Amino acid sequence: MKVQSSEGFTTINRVPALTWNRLHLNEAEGAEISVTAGRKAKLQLPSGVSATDREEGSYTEQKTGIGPEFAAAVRKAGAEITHISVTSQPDGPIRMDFSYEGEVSDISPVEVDVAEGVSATLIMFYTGEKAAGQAAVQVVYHLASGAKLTLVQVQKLPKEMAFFNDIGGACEEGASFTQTQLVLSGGASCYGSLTDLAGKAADQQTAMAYLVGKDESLDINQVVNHIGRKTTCDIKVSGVLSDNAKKNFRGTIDLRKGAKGAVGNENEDVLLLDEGVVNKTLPIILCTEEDVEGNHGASIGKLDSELMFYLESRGISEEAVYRMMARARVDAVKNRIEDEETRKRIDALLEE
Amino acid sequence: MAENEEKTVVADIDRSMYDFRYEEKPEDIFKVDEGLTPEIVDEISKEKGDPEWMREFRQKSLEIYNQLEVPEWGPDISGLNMDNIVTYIRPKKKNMASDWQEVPEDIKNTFEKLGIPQAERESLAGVGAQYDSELVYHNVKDEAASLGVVYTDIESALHGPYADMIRDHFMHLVPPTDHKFAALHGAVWSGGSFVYVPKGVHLDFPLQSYFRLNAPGAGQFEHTLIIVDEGAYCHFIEGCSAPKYNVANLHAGCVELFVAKGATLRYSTIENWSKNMYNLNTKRAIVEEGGKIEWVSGSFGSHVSYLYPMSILNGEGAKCEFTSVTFAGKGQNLDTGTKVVHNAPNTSSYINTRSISKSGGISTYRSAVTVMPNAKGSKSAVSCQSLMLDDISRSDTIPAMDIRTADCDIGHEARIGRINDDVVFYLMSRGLSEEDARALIVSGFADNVGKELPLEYAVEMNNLIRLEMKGAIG
Repeated sequence: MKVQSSEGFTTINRVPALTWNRLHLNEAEGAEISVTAGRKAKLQLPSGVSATDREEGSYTEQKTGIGPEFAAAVRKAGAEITHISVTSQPDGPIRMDFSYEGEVSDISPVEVDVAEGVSATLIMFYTGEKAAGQAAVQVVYHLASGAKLTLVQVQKLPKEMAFFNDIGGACEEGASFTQTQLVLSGGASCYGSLTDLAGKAADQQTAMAYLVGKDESLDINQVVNHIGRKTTCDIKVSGVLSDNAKKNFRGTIDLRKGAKGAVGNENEDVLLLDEGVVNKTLPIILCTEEDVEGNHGASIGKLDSELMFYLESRGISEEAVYRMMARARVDAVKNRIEDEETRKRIDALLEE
Repeated sequence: MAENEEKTVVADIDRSMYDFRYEEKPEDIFKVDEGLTPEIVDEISKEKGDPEWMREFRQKSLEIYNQLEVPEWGPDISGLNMDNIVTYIRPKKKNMASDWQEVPEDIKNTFEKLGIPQAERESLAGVGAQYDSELVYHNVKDEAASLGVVYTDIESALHGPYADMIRDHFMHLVPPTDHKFAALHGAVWSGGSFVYVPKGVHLDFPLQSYFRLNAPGAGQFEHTLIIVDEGAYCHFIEGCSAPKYNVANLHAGCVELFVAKGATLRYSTIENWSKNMYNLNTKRAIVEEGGKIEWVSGSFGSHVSYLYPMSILNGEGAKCEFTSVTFAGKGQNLDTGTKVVHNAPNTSSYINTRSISKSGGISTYRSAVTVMPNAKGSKSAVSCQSLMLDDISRSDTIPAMDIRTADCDIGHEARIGRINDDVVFYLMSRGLSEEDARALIVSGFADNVGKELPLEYAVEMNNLIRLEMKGAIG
């Protein structure tokens, strides 16, 4: 996938350690995109949280998952940045609704700043029924010592849309970043996330579920940099591909020198339903420190035949079994969300 | 005393078994000029008496070489300057012998030191020994020959009754367009072996080729072509070593393996090139219905390695097993792994690898498992484990999976970690020194390969690990 800038086309979702070019996995490939107009989300702020519009970002040096060239293109688009400051404990989640309609070419940069020892939740919905075109959202965050940010992102977009969701941030000592992402539908979706676990015992947790169906594609690039001692991460991604769906997942755990005692885990579980699907998975561990542990696993394929036999023997049709299994993957991630309103809204989106 | 010394000397490995060399007088050797030009390629072709098609093939490969870029995704090979590499070098008095006594004395002594003739006498069905660019010895035991097994140098095969078979297979599996160093191989290849195992023949003893690169600043480009016909079985072992020089040496060999219906080929390698070697080797197997390829690979030497034996499972029910260990020490950047393409129904692959990094060494496990749309019912299981022995080394795993059918079962697991202190403590409490405890744990870690090798080679591999582990405790 290419992003247009004044310098021409640049690459996005590039993996930190390259591999064979003929696998076409080193970076996202696909449609070109040009996002020009700024878009503001419908924003709901609890107490203890303030939001301002800024022309200049506070964390321009922060790397993001989709990549530095995409970040530069975002800045070049000149959209105002919604800067959210969480300075004291909020009494509820921050909510941002992006509802797309008609022909769009929108970019929405967001910054989140969470003060020391404060916990915040940011819930973002990307929806749109009759929209077409391209849209991008970029979230850059900074978590001070002991701060916690739970970022929930739910996407249900029409096939006519290309969507870019870019995340990047740093966690100071004892800070924790949790991202819970549900991709329920969309045309060409591109998800990037990069976390710098800079401080001692900083933590990153990812739970992502996706449903990718007919004429849809999803490209994911997750990077966690273990810089501080005793940092931890756990990336869990699961999804279902059907019809002619295409999905790439790149997950990188970078255990850097000095990150003694760090532990990184990642796992992807992919259920393939139809013959036309294309699934590519590239789980990477980079390690320059001895006293660390890195694990990754992947499981890709159809449903276990014994499980299928059992369920069918209980009178459940094959189609119903697959529907049930797909729903189970989404529910497993949905149920991690503490906010009941969000869970209900996800259920409603799934029922549509 | 010696034990204590080992514990205080940091990783000064005793490689005398491999590093010895005999000084050769310039008048005793024939070599082409350094570098790579159409004239040099023609000179090699003329020297080897190539048929015209091969001369044209070499020139075409050189054109491709000049068009292709050096890969940007792997270890740095900027220290390799082809202008300084001699691509063809051989002793003037060379004539390939089938009687060990006819081999020139100094070369014979080299292989005697490496234990090759002894291995032949005791446990092999045939042996080929390559010294620099040419084979100096080739022999197949009568028992194997009487079964119709062909084991000869590839140049002889090019002119003999198997000429058409060579032409039909040579660089068909690894075309020169595959990558830059495959093209280089196509242009300047020399030496190597041709093996044909007829239908239904089960070769009880392994065949072995040993490659020795003796000259400084030289390249070795041997070509190994093995055809195992329907229902046959063969175990082929290759070993490689070279003395260490201050200039870069290059190994860009090519291995093409054809495993027919119901046949099995086990291909074992213990690679111990010297640590100035750029090992840019290409190995590939195509396996037909019900056939099986078993790779067993130990990578210990070379300065930089790009090594990814590839299996194309082309017939229904074809299988692949890949078992390897890579040990990267000081000054080494070993990028190893495998590629498997499932291109037929009900194919299966099992990949089991271990990587060890020590004293600033870099080991990278890189793989690609591709399941094509027609490979319904296929299964693949990958397990890769890496061990970091200190915090100045590096270990990466970069495994890719490209799955294009729903009807498959693909599993992958990987782990990077260190030696568990509790296990070291336990072994020390049983009377082992810390160094011995660690060496024992590392040997056990690499046992996936050791147990797949014939005993003599497993012993050699364990010796290599022990040598590498010397001085690991400062």
